[in-house]
Order: sequence, then structure tokens, then C-alpha cells
Amino acid sequence: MNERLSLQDLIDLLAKKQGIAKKEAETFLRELIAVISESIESYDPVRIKDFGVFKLVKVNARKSVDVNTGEAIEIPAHYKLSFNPDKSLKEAINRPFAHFESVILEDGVSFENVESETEEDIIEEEYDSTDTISIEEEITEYIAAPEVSEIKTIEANEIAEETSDPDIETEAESAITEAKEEAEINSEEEKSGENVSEIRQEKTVSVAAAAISRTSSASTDIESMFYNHRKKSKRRRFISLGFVILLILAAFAIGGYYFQELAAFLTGQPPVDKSKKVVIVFDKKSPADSLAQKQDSTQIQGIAQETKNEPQQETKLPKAEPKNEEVKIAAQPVKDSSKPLATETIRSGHTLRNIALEYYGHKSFWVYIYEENKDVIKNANNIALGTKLIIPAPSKYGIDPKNPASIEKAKQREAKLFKEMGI
Amino acid sequence: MTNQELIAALAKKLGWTQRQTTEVLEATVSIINSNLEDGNSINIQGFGLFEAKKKGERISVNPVSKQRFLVPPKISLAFRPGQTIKDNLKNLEVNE
Repeated sequence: MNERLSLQDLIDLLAKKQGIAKKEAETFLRELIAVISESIESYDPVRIKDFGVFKLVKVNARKSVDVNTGEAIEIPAHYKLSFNPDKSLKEAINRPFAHFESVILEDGVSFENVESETEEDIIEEEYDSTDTISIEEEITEYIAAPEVSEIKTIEANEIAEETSDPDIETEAESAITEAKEEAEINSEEEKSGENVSEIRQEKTVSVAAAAISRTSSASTDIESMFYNHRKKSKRRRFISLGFVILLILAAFAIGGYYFQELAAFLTGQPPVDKSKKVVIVFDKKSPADSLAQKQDSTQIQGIAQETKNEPQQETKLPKAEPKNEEVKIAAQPVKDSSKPLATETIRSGHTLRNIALEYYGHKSFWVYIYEENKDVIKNANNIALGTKLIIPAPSKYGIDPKNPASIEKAKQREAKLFKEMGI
Repeated sequence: MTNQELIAALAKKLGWTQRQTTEVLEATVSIINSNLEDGNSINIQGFGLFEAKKKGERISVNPVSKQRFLVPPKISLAFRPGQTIKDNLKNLEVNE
């Protein structure tokens, strides 16, 4: 990212890509530049396919002031080399921002702050959700147990450390037993996290043992006691810091865990997912894409029965075909019906607009994806990562990027949606 | 000068076939394009600098209807001609 490539880098890349000698690549690039320059200097614009046009632009004479002397001078009329990138290159470069659209501002809206804030929020929330998801998978099962036993171990540690004044070894020993008992209680309480608490248990024992050895050394050597003291305070700070971090992690993980579960529970998404998978298989089997697609869109609601056994599907296929024919006739006027019905898993950087642009060729059609997946999407501005979306067949909502009326309809729907959401 | 003329001129100068020249030119363009898409800039000494620049969002006002629009940010390609070519162009005669 954001490197500056020189001609030499370009030569290396070109030689590697084309499998030619660097010398050849260099002569080629130098000649290319020479030819362009020559052509430009004879007032002839140069057009390079997929890249752009180099041409001369006349700059009229204007008055200026000499920077050093402050005298008024006139800059004579001259030519400037300008470069107009090709449309495809322009779009490729702007791709990260391609889904944005101009928005009409109402009077008196404090636009600057609002816009930048909402955008930041979305980004932050996206990152949050990635965090929670990744952590949640690993930790949630164990989280309760280690947390509790961690507290206990810390307590045990503190007890052991407090007792490390010279002569009281017995108390340290009692600390071990305490720690052991507590760890045992943990393991009983938290059956799910048995392994972890056992490990903790071992750790507490070892820590307590370390404490004993330290107490004995402390009783013999005063200097080492001071050293120990310093070490202890450092250690305590370290432990408390670790504890705070652990708490935060736990909060994240629990939040993430419940969020996903709740979403899954509310929407009843899993069964739909399964049916989708079958639909894709189905797609591949049938020769005519558009046929299968129509079938999919019409059968999505009633697909549950079909998903039960695949063999049945295959026997059903011939029967289903006549039905499809009807749909096909209806769908034919819509030009872009050949795009397959697909499922899309939300990844970082995805937006509904982007997806709509990819599948339908116009970003305003995102409203239909939203409507199709209303039960999965709680907030259209912030969809959890990993959410699976169904991309409806274009004909289902009369989606046609070449038809201005269709786009207009989508835009009206969009406006209505925004109103409902209070944006 | 069109793309075809450019290729013809290059092929003649290099002594390559047109097909060969076309291939290498296309490879060059695709290398440059993909680098620019990644946000890298390309500096060719004496010729100029190509770079992708981010332009911030702005508010534009329609002078007729006085409607205000929030224009989204975008990334655009900028080309800055190098010193050598500027100097060469200075010596060009301005006609018209």
C-alpha cells in the first residue's frame, strides 16, 4: 500500500510478468515513453487502450508576481501535458467508494458531523463484531470456569505472598491447601470447564510452592526480601492488569455469544440456510440456469419438504419443468434474469449497496436484498459479519438495471425505507 | 495517435512484431493499473507521476435550485508531468 514505484520497479515487474529479459523490458518502456513524448510534442494526443489519453492543454498567459523580487511578471501562454484516465481505470480505482451516492441535504442539517460520525460508528461496530465472533468461538465454553478459578488463584497468591514474612511457613502451607480446596470446589461447580480448572489447580499449587521457596529464602536473606517485595508489588500490578483484561474479554465474548444465539433464535435462520445449500446443488444439476433459478425463487418458501431427501428432488425435476416454462415466459422480457440466485455471506467491507451493484448492476436495488432478508437483518446499516443473505432472482421484484422505471421504483422504496428507519 | 498507431510506431522502433508489442503494452498497462488500484503511485523519471488521490466528501450547491448535495468521497487518478517534459513543452510554439 502506498508505495512509490519507480521506472526500475516497473521494468522488473514487466520482465517477470512477460518472461522477457530486463533489458528488453527496459528498452520497451523507454521507447514507449519516448514515442509518447514525441507524439505529444508534435501536438498529437496519444490514446492507450484501457489506460487513458495523454494530450496537451493550452494554458493562457497570465500575470503573476516573481516570488523572489516581488515584481509583476507575465507567465506566457504555454502547453501542459494532461492525462485523462480511461473510464474503466477510473472506476477500478474508485471501487472502494463506488457504492456512495450523492445525497440531498435538508436545510439546516449539521451534515459534516453527522456524516463522519455515522461512518466511523459503522466501521467501529464492524470491528467489534469481528472481535467478538472470533473470540466467542474459542472462549465461551470455558470462559466462566477460568474466570472464577483465576480469581481464586489470585486470592491464593495474595494470601501466600502476604504470609511470606520471614518466619511463617506454616501459613503458606495452609495457603496451598486453601488454594487446592478452592480449586477443587471450582472443578465441582464448573463441570463444563473441568479441564481448565484442573490446569488452574495445578498452577495454584505450583504458585504456592514457589511462594514457600521464596519464604524460606526470605527468612535467610534480608536483601532478597527487599528484592522480593519489589517483585511482589510488580507482580500484583501485573496480575490485576491481567484480571481487568480478562474481564473485558469475557464481557466481549459473552456479548457476542448471546447476540448470535439471539439472532439465530429470533429469525429461525438455520433451516433456511440448509435449504439454500440444497438449492445450490439443485442449480448445478439442472442444465438451464434461468430455469433452475426461477424454480428456486418460487420454491424457496415451500422448500422445506424438498430438502428432506435429495433423490426425490431429482425425480421431481421433470415434473417441475413444465411449471418453470410458465415462469420463464413471464421472466423473458426481463433481460437480466440469467444471474443466478445466490447466497452471500457478509464479510468485512461488504455493504448491501455493494452486493446489489455486484449482482444486479445497480446499487439502488439493495432494498430488495434487504426485503428478502428482513428477518436476518435487524439494522440495514449494520449487519453482523457471517450473516448469510439470499440474493433474490431479479425477476422476483422486477429488477432491471437497464430500465429507468425499475430503478426509480427501487429509489422510491429506498426513500420510504429511510423514512421508516428515521434517517 | 491511436492505440494501433502507437503499437505500430513502437514495433517499428523496437524491431518487434506487432503482436509481441501489443502483448507487452497490455501487460505494462495492466501492471500500472493494478498498482494504481492498490493505492501505489508510479513515478517515471522525466515523464511524470501517476497517483491515486482520495478526494474528500464535499457539499455542492445547485446554483439554480439552491439544493445542497453531499457529494461522496472518491479516489481519482492524478497525473503530474515531470520536469523534463515540462521543459520540453515550454519550448513549443504556441499556435492558434
